[in-house]
Amino acid sequence: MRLFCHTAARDAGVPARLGELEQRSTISPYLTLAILISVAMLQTTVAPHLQMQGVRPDLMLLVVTSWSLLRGARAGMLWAVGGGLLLDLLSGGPFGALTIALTLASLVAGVGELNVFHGSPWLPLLASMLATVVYDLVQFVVLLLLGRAAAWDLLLQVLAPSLLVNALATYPAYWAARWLHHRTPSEAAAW
Amino acid sequence: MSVLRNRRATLVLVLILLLLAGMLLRPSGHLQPVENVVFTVLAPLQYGLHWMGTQVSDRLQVIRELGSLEARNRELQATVDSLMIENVRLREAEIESANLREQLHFKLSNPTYELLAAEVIGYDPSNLLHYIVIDRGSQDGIASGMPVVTARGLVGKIASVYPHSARVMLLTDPSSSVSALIQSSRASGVVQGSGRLGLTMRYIEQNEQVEVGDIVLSSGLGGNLPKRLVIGKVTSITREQVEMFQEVHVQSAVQFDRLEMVLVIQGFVPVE
Repeated sequence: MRLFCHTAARDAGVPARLGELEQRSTISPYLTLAILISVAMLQTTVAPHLQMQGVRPDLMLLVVTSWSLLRGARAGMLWAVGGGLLLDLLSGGPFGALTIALTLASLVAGVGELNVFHGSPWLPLLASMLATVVYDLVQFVVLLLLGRAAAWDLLLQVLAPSLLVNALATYPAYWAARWLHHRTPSEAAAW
Repeated sequence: MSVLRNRRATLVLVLILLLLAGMLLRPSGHLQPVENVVFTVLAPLQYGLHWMGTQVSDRLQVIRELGSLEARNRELQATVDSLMIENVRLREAEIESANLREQLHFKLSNPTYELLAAEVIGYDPSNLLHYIVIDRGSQDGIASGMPVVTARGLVGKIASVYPHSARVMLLTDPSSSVSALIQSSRASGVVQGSGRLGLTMRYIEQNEQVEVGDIVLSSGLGGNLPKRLVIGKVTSITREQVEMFQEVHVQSAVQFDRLEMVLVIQGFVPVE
């Protein structure tokens, strides 16, 4: 019933208060883990087949961003940390780079949920664009600080195509997250 | 009454006479004009009736077969589906066969290398990093630092090993650095990954002769890779008088974002 009230208020475009958002928590940790593992697997196996201009869609980023928009910054951050750790395990880069990047990106998206665009159909797209910039930038800075990236042109050659390919994948990811959002309870779950 | 009987008898008689006349006249062809008139008049009618009959017959046939048509359609659709699957399978087998042929050719051309074929099972989740995951690990004899190649050239080297899989750092990764030389002039340098831009060979002295189209090979310096592995071809050269070294862009024949199978050179032990 509580989920229905929140959803109805959201669908009506009523801005939710931050406190209210933070009270809402995530779904079962086991289901969350299963979802995050599936998305991480898709990211490393299927996403390479969807690449454009040599750049793959950041599926985990899009899912985490969507979840932040639907369930608030706190729930989004939990998914970001979990998803980021999984991606770090699968990546050859320095451990933690993707977790930090994903967490900061989800924070930006979670804040976006409270802004003036709330209720707008463009919100998922705007949030994912902003999150993509933060995600790539933070990753690049971490790599640069650890001596792993050669030059700024590396970021530039990835960022523009990333924005394009993530924009195309935003709504399918958002709709999938919204489907899950409507079918799972939002009451507090013990993490 | 007798008049009526007489008329009928006359008609029968006329008809018999006409029959007899026809029998006698046809063999000699004298009946032809009459036949012509009859056929000219009747042919269109005959055609129309025949067309109508065919149409009705066809419709009846369709109605009769309606029940079996649905089953037949399902059967044909199943055949199309199975042929499509078979076609996809054959195309995949053809591609795999071509890959294996290339690798076999590479193995035959390099008999000194102990090669192990591996399939690519994953890519790095980050767009800024260039790694792949292969389905061979320490249990297959894979060790860190082993070179990875395809028939088209050097791919990278093993970065980390797990029991049943291994992670390969591609040449295009910004952290990748390989000692190399230009085949024709023997000028040495270092090939570094430039992400999506490909490969750049740096630290070539200004007085060295380099030309577009020159082949770049691994030099073996440092002991990290075997000598004479093909890295790529020079596509552009940047020479600045104020710089100590010249820089060249190297195009590899390997399609790093479409790798499916690779070969690990097992016999080579890199110097730590």
